[in-house]
Amino acid sequence: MQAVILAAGEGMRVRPLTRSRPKALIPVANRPIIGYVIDALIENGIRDIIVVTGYRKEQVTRFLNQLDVPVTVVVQDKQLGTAHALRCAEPKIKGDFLLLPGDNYIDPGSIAKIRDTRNAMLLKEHPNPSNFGVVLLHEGYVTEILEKPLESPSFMVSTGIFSLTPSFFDYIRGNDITDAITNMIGNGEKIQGIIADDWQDAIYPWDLLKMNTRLLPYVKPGKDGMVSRNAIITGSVRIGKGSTIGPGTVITGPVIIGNDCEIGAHCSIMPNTSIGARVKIEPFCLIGNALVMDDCSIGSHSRVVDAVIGEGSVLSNHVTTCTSASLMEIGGSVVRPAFGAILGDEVRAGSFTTFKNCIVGNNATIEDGNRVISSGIPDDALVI
Amino acid sequence: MQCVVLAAGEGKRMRPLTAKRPKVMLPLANQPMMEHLVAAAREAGITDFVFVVGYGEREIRRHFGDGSRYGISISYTPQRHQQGTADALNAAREDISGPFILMNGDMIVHSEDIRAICEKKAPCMGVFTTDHPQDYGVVVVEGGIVTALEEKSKKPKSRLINAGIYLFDPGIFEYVDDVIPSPRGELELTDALAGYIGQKKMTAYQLSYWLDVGEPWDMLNANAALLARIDGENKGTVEENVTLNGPVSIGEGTVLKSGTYIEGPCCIGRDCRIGPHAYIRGATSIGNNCHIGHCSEIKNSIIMEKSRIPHFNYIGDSIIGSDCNFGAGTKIANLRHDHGTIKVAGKDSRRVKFGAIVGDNVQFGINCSINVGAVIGSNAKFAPGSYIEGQIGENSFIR
Amino acid sequence: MCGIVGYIGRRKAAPIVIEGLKKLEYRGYDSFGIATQGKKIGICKHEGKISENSGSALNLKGTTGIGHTRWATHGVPNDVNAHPHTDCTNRIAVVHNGIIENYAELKRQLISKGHTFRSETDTEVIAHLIEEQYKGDLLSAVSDAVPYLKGSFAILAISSEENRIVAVRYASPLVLGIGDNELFAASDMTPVLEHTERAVFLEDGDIADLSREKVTIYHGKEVVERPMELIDWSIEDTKKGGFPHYMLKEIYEQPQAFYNSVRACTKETLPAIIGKPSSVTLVACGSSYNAGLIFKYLLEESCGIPARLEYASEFKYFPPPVSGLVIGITQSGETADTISALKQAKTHNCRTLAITNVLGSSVSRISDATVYMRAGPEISVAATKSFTAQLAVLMQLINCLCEDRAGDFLLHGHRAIEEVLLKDLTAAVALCRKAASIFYVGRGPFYPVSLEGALKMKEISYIHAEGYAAGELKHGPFALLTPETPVVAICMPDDTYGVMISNIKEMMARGAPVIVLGPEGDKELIDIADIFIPLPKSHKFLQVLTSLVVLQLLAYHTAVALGRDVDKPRNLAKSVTVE
Repeated sequence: MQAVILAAGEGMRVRPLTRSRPKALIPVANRPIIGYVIDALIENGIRDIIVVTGYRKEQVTRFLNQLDVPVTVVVQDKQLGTAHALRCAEPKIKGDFLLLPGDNYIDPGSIAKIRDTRNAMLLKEHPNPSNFGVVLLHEGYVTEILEKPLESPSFMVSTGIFSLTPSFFDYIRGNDITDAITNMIGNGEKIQGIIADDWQDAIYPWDLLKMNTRLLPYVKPGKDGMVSRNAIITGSVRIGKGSTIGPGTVITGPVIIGNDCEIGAHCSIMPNTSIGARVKIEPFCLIGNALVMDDCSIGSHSRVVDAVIGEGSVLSNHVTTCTSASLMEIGGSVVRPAFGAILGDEVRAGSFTTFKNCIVGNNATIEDGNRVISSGIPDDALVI
Repeated sequence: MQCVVLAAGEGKRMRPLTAKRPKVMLPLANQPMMEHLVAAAREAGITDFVFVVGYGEREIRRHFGDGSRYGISISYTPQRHQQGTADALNAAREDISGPFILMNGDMIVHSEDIRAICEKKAPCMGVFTTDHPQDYGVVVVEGGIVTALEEKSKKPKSRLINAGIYLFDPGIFEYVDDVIPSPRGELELTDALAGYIGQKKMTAYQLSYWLDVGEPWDMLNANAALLARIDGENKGTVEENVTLNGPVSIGEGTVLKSGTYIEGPCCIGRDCRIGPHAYIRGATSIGNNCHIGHCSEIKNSIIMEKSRIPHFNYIGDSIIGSDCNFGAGTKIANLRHDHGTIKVAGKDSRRVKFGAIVGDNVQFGINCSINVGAVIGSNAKFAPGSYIEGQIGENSFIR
Repeated sequence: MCGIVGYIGRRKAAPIVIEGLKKLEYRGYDSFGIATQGKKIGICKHEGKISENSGSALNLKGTTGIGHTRWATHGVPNDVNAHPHTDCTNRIAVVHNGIIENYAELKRQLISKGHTFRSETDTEVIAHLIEEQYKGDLLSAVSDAVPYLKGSFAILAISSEENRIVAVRYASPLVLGIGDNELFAASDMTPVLEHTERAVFLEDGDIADLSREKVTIYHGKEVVERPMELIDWSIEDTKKGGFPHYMLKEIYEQPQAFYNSVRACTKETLPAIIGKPSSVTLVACGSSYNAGLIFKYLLEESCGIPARLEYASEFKYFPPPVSGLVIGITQSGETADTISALKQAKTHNCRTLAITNVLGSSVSRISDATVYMRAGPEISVAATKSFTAQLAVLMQLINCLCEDRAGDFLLHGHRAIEEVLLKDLTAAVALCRKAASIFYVGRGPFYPVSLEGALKMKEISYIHAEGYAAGELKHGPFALLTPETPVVAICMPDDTYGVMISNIKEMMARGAPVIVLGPEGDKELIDIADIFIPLPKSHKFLQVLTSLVVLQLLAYHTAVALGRDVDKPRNLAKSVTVE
C-alpha cells in the first residue's frame, strides 16, 4: 500500500506564518503537521510514502530527511491544484494508494478505517462547513461534493483523505481532486464515505491554537535538562534536553517545551502552550494557550496569551497580547475571530507594546513606547 | 548441535538501563540474562555457539570471550544494522553447518526443554501457554503441527505463543532469502516460516517453563524466578549478630557487618560492604562492589555493580543501574495509596508494587523522595530534598 | 592520493571491497578497480566513478580481494592506469595510495631486467619489484621490495599462489579492521566500521601479513604488537533523501551544522592547551584556508592577538621561528599537507590544535588536541556545511579567547542562515551562467568570503572566477573587466562601506555588471547595483556567514543551470591526501 501526501501548496490563508515554509511544515505541539500524518501512516504499516513538494520544497525535504523512515519526494514545480500535484506523483504509484493532505492532522485510527476499503473518503462534521468541500451522502455513499458553498446543506465535510485505485487517474481532467471525484461519481463509480475519528485542519492562523490544544495531549510527558527543585510542574509537561527552568516557575500542563530553552525564574506557563527550541523567557512572564516557535525571546513581565509567535521573534519587556474579537478580511472572506496576536517570523516588539487581536507580518519592527497594535501590520513594516 | 543466539538488539524498551549494555547483558541473579540461557543450553549438551551481536557487542565479547571459561566454543557474527530477526539469522549463515537451535537472547528457558527440542526433527518451534497471549505473537497448533501464526492482536485465537526458540536445518535459509520487509520495515523471521507452515512441516514443542523479559519490570519476575533456584553459598565474611534466613549467596570479599538481617533468596556479589544494620529482603540481587549501609532496607530489587545505598535508604521493587549514589535518607515509594496498578512511562506495569527504574551513574542528594513508576535516565543529578516522579531524561539536573 | 580497501575472510570479497571503495570516494573518483585472489588473479578496473558503474566488478569470485579508487597523480585517468596493477605474469596484484618518488629510475632498471610495463603509473613498479623478489612467499617478497621504494605509500598486495594479503604502510594512512574470521584493510576507518569496531592502526614502516584467522605485523625483521582500539561507531545516514544534489542538501543543513558546532565548542569544552596564546598560526588548504583567513581578520580585530596564516603546502618552506599555538584546519582530517605542517610545528615545540569533522581521523592522531566541528558527514566535493561549521568553531574560539566579544548571538546565528536560504537568486544566476569570468570583491573579512565564493563558483560551475580584495582590483585585474565579466561585490555597513561604494562605481564605469550583496533597505546600493541582494542587518560575524551562504547558493544554481555534475566536479577529489 502506498500513500501520497500533498505538501506543495503554501496555504496562503495561514500567512504570515508561511513565509519560510508551507503550512504542512508549521510546528504544532513542536512537530510539523506533516509529521503527524506520516506517523499515522507508519502506525498503520504504510511505509511506501510519496510526498509532493513545491512551495519551499527544500525546507520540506530537509524535514523529511530527519525522519526514521525513507520518504520519496516528488516536486510540483507550479502549484496548479491538488489533482495536478497528484499527477506529479503518478510515475511512482504502483497500485492502490491513499491520498492525504500534508497540512491536516489525522489520527491513526481513522487511517485504519479507510486503509482496506477502495474508493472511499474520510469525512468529518465541521461547524463551519463553508470553508471545505461539503459532502452529500446516500446510504453511506457520496452523491455530491460542493466546494466551499456559501450556504451549506450539510455539516459533513471532506477531509481530503481518499483511498483510491490507479484508475482514478482516468478521471482527472482538470487540476482539482474534487472535480475528478465528481467525474468518477458521474461515471457510476461508487465512493464510500467513512467518518474520521479525529481530524484537524487549520484554515486560519488562529486555528493553529485549537489544533495545538488538541494535539498536546498526545505528547509524552518527561523532564530533561536542568529543572529547579522550586519549580512547580503539574499535569502533562514535556521539557526538552538542555532546557533550564528557573525557580518559582509554575508550569501547568499540557505544555511542551523544546530543547535548549531558558525559562527564567518566576514564570507561569499555563495549559495548552507549546514552546519551541532555544526560546528564552525572562522572569515574571505569563504564557498561556500559545504557540511560541523556535528561537524566540520574550522579555520580562510580558503576557503572551492566545497567541502565535513566529520563529526568531524578539519581544522586549512588558509586551502584552490582549484577547478580543474584531472583523478582518482574509482571502476574500470576512471573519471575526477571537485571539490575542499572530506574529510572523523575526518580529521585533519594543517594550510596553500591546497587541490586540492583530496579525503582524514577518520582519516587522515595533519601536519602544506604549504602542497598542490593534490592526494588521504588513511584512517588513517599521512602526515608529 | 549448534546454537545461534540472537543478541544484536539494544532492547529500546529497557531504556535507560541499556545505556551502557545491550538488553541481553542486563543482570538477573547477578549474571547477564544471556548467561543463564547459555548455561541452560550447555547443560542440554550444546557446546558450539554462534552469537549474533550488534548493539553493545564489546560488552558481550568481553564477558563471554571465546567461551572456554564455560567449556563451550563461541563464534561471533556482527549484525551492524538491526534489520529484523530474519536478517540476524542470515548474518550467522556462514557459520551454520547442520541442524541448529535458534534462540532469542532475552528469555529464560530450562535445559530440559532445550534438550527435548534438540531431539525433534527440524523444523520445530517452541511454544508456551500464557495468560497474556495478547502481548505476543500467537501460534495455532493442531495435532502437534503449527498451522498458523498470528501477529500480536487484541483478540488472540489461542493461548499458545511463539517462545522464540526453534530447531532448524540449513533449509531455512532458502526461505529467509525470500523475506520482504514487514509493515514495520523489518525482515521478520516469522515471515520465513510461512513456507513450512503452509506445508504443515513445522512441529510445535510445548515448553514446560518460559519467561521473557519484554519490559523492565519483567526483570523483577525473572530475577525472583532465578533466585528461587539458588542454594545459597557464603564465600564472604559474616560478622557476629548477622542473621541469614533462607538461601543467601554471598560473593568473595564481601563483608556483612553486625546487625544485618537478610531474608533469602538473595544474591550478593563480590567485594560488597553490607551493613551494619542493613535489612535486605527477598528476591534481591546486589552486584559486585556495592555498598548497602546502616539502616538501609532493600526489597525485591536489582542493584547493579558499584552502586552505593549507604544510609537510611529504602528501595523496593526497583531496578538500579551501576555507579549510582543515594544520598542519606533518599527513598523510593513502591505502592499507591489506592493500591492501583502502577504506570511506568505511560505503560501499565500490571504490578501493584513497583518502585523506580534508575539508570547508570545517577546521583541523589540527601532526602530525595522518588515516587512510584519514576524512570530516571543515566547521569541525572538531584539536589537534596528533590521530589522525583515521571520520566527524567539522561544528564538532567534537578537543582 | 587515492583510497584502498582489502578484504580477506569467509565472505565473497568483491561486494565488500566495492562498498568500501564507495566510502573512500572522497579521496578520488576518476577511476577504480578491484582484484580478487584465486587460481588466477581476477581483475576488473574502469575509468569513472565506482558509485555509478561497479556492475561487472561484483561478479569477481574469491574471498580475498583488494580495491582502489583513484585520483590520478602519474598517468591520465583511464582503464589501463587504473589500479590494481600486476606484474608480468599476472600472478601478483597491488593497489597503492601515495607517490613513489623514485619510480622512473626503478622503472628503467626493471625494464632493463626484461619487465614489460603496461601503464604510465608509479604504482606498477611495485608489482614488478615484488615479482623480482617473489620465490613463493609474498611476505618476504614484499619485505625485500619495500627498501627500494622512496616516497609515501600504503600498499596492499595479493598473489594468485597464496591466500593472504600483505599490507605496507609508509607515510600514507592504513588501518586494519579485525573481524571474526575475516580481516579488513583500508585508508581510513569508514569502510571498516560497517563490519567491525575493532581496529589496529599501522605505523610507518609496518608490514602486515593478513590471513583469514590472524594478522602478524612486522617492523624491520621484528614481529611487533600494535594495540587494538575499539572505535565508537554510528553509521550516519548519507542519503540524498529527495534533494537533487548532496551539495544542496548540505547547504540546507547549514543552520543545524552551525548550531551544533557553536554548542559543541564552549569555554568548558575547549581543550586546555589553547590557553592564552600570544600568537596563533593557522595552516590549511583550499576552503579551510579561506576560513582561516576570515578567522585571522576577526581575531586580530576582536582580540588583538596576532595571527599568521599559511598554506599548509608552503609551511614547510618557511624557516622557524614558529611559536605559540598552531591550528590545522581540515574537514576530512586526512589532508596530507596539513598533517605534515602540523608534524613540523611539533618539531618546533609548538602546541598543535586540529579542527576537523571526522572522528578518529589522522590529524587527530598527531595533534595535541582536537576540536570536532559537528557538521555531520559531507559528501559533496564542494565544502559548504563543513565550512560554516569551521567558522562556527573559529568564531567561538574568538569568543573564548577574548571574553565573549561576540556574545551569545552566535547561538542564534543559524537563524541568519535560515533567512538567506529564502533568497531568490534567479536574476543573478541568469547573469552568471553566461559569464566567461566572474570577479568577487570585498574588503576586510569579506575579502576571504569573496575568495571562497569564487572558489565555489570555479569548482562546480567551471566558470573562471577570482576573488580579490576590492582595492587590489585596480592594480591589474581591471584590464579584464568587460560587460561579459560580472562582478560580485560584498558591501556591508562598516568602515569599508564608503570606499566599497566608490569601488563599485569604478567597476561599473568599466561596463562590468555588478551584483551587490548589501544591507537590506540600503537605498543607494539598490540604485547603483545591477542586481541587489539584500542581507539582514546583524553582527559582523553573522554578516560574514550570510554573505557566504548566498555565494554558495549562487554557485550551486549557476552550476545546475549549466548542467554540471555538482557533487563530483571534474578533476577534483574531496580531500587531498598527497602533498
